[in-house]
Amino acid sequence: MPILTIKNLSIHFYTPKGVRKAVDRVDLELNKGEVVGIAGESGSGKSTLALGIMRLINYPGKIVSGEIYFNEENILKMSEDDFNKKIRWKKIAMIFQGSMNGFTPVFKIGDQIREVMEIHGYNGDYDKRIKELLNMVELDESVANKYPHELSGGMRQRAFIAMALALNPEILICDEPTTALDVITQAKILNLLKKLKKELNLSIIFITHDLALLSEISDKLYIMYAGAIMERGDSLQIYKNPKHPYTQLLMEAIADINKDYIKGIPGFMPDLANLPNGCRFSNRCPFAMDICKKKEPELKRLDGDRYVSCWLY
Amino acid sequence: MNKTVSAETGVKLYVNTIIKNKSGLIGVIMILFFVALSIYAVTNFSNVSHQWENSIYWETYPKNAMPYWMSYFNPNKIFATEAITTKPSIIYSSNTYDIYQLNYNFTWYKEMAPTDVVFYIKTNSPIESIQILWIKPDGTNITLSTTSPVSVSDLITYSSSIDSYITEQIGYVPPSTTSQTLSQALFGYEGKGLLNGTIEKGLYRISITIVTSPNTKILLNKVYLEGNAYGLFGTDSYGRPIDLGILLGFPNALEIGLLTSIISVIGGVIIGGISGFLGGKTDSAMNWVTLVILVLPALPFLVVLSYIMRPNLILEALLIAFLSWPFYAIIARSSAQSIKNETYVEADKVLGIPSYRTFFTHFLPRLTPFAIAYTALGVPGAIILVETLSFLGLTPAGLVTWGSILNSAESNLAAVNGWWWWILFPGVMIILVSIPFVMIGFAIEKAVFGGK
Repeated sequence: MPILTIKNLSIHFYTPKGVRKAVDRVDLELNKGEVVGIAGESGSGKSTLALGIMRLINYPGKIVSGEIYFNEENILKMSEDDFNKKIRWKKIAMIFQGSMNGFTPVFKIGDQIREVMEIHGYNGDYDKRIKELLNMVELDESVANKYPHELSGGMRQRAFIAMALALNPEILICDEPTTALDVITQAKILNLLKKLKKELNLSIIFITHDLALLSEISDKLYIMYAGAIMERGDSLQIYKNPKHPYTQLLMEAIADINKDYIKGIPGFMPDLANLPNGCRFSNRCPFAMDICKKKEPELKRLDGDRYVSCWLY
Repeated sequence: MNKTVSAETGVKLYVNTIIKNKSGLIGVIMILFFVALSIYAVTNFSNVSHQWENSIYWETYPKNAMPYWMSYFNPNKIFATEAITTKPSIIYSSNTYDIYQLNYNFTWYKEMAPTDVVFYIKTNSPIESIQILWIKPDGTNITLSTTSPVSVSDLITYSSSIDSYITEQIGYVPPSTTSQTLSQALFGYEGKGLLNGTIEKGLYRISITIVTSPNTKILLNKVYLEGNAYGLFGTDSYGRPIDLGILLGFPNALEIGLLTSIISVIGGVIIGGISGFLGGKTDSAMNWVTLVILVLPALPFLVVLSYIMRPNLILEALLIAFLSWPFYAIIARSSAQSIKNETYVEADKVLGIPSYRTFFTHFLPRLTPFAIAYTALGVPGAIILVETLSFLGLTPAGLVTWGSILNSAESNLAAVNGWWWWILFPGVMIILVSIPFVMIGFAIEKAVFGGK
């Protein structure tokens, strides 16, 4: 039984230009102790999906349909208070791209972690827990007494991970947690997350546009394009044998030192307020057929855990 | 290492940044000096401020005297008041009345007669009659008497006696009987040229005879030969020393300036901060209210309100604060809008921190440096506004302010009469008291927002 199940989730933004379908009928499953990677280019709705899980979609955005089950409990049906008391940060925590800037500059790291623990009613010795957390993310205990500006970006990101782990969550949503960091720090953070996953039996949703990075950590992989899932399946299988043309092109776009140029994908992602009739990738797809422009493909199951949304299969 | 860091935070950090900056240091020293003067004024002269409007209290002071240090330029024409005293002798005593005699001697070598002569005799029961014999160096004498004897009497009190003396000497009624003319009559050579400005130099003798009820004691007696120079900053037409007035104005100016500035900055920052923090329709509504109050013409509005309400010091501060908070609200709102989009404010949402808590703990601290800088910078504005209202005659009751001194200077035509000290010094003080706040404000602003 998956710990987190998303069924048919749609998140729309009601803008003056029209309804933008940022997340369109997405299904997702996350098992205990598993890392699910979500990849896709900018604007494909990855972060909106993450914010949707945290119930942080603000006006003009709205969750129009779908269910999110955490341990068989629909968290979208909960009242805001209930969600804050039971789920937020206690069960599902989140780190994001800018989370190294997520500390208020005028307070010490330790005090900010303590504040979160106080708000969510942690019972236990705060000081001991803060030290424990900092050790967990391989930071010195003295960091608790420092101000954010005294730490490097990587250290702050670790400190934020410590804050995310403060209340022993079961799910950690990482929304591009390493994007703003250099490769060495990226590797360290990634190894840290791997270690934490193993030690704490964490379930992680890892969102990034960096497929190379994702291959290091993810067990399952979801490829998103223009708000919808294009392909999903076992991480290794997708890397070895990408089925969807978008996945294939995405893999080819990974920088390689042996190639003298990076192959991009020509064209632009369609306007989310004005999606084409057929497949949403049809205008850029090198294999586009007639049917692609007319009818939208379903997410078809190939074998086992492998799904692809393409008329080729 | 942690210790050095924590020592550099909070109040200490502010003090350090201000003192390290040269203009900030000068500002701090000036403010400390002003505060010391205010404390001195409050502790030593609080009774004087109650008497400020009471003209009898200032009777023994010279009127319209220029600053005493002016006498260094012309010691024979500009001089300070001299007070002489004597031991009273009883010359007749009975069970119906007592007669005292007071004999004074003094030498006069100046080129000018005193501006006035004031006789001050303090007794424990009313004086029934008083007669003054004024003997000039050449032996000629005048007798001064009055029908209504009082304990403090100047030459105007005896103007009928002196007027008839002048008329007798020069042959016609003098055109004006100012105390200056009367004094000239007492010091000039007898004859046609009594009032032509020449002064008899030498030993003068005054003999005062007073009749009192029996068992009366003379507690104090003095004759003031009023000079035309007094104190550091001179005196006004009522004899009130300008330096004392300036001293008494200090605590009021500082108090009302700081109070107004603090109230309006705190109000402005909180309202502007909330407005920028919340955004949306609340923001629009609050911003609209802010702008409406901002465009109210402050001075006419304050004049009308002060006239209707006759406020005390605190109410006046509140009134001015009510009209000046929008300035700070607008600046705070714009800062708030940028802080609102900082990652850590958004992170608070993810963390599930309630928004009121985000506002007070993570949001307002970012606005404090701004608030402190603008509190300091707002003081001069507030002081000037208060002094302006005082100048227009709307001083809070019972307060001595520099504006009210300027107001009386204006209504007594100080500028026309050339009593420059009455206008210059209070005016300079208003500027002077503003300077350190601006310097400190700039020092903080520089420390907080950077820049040259």
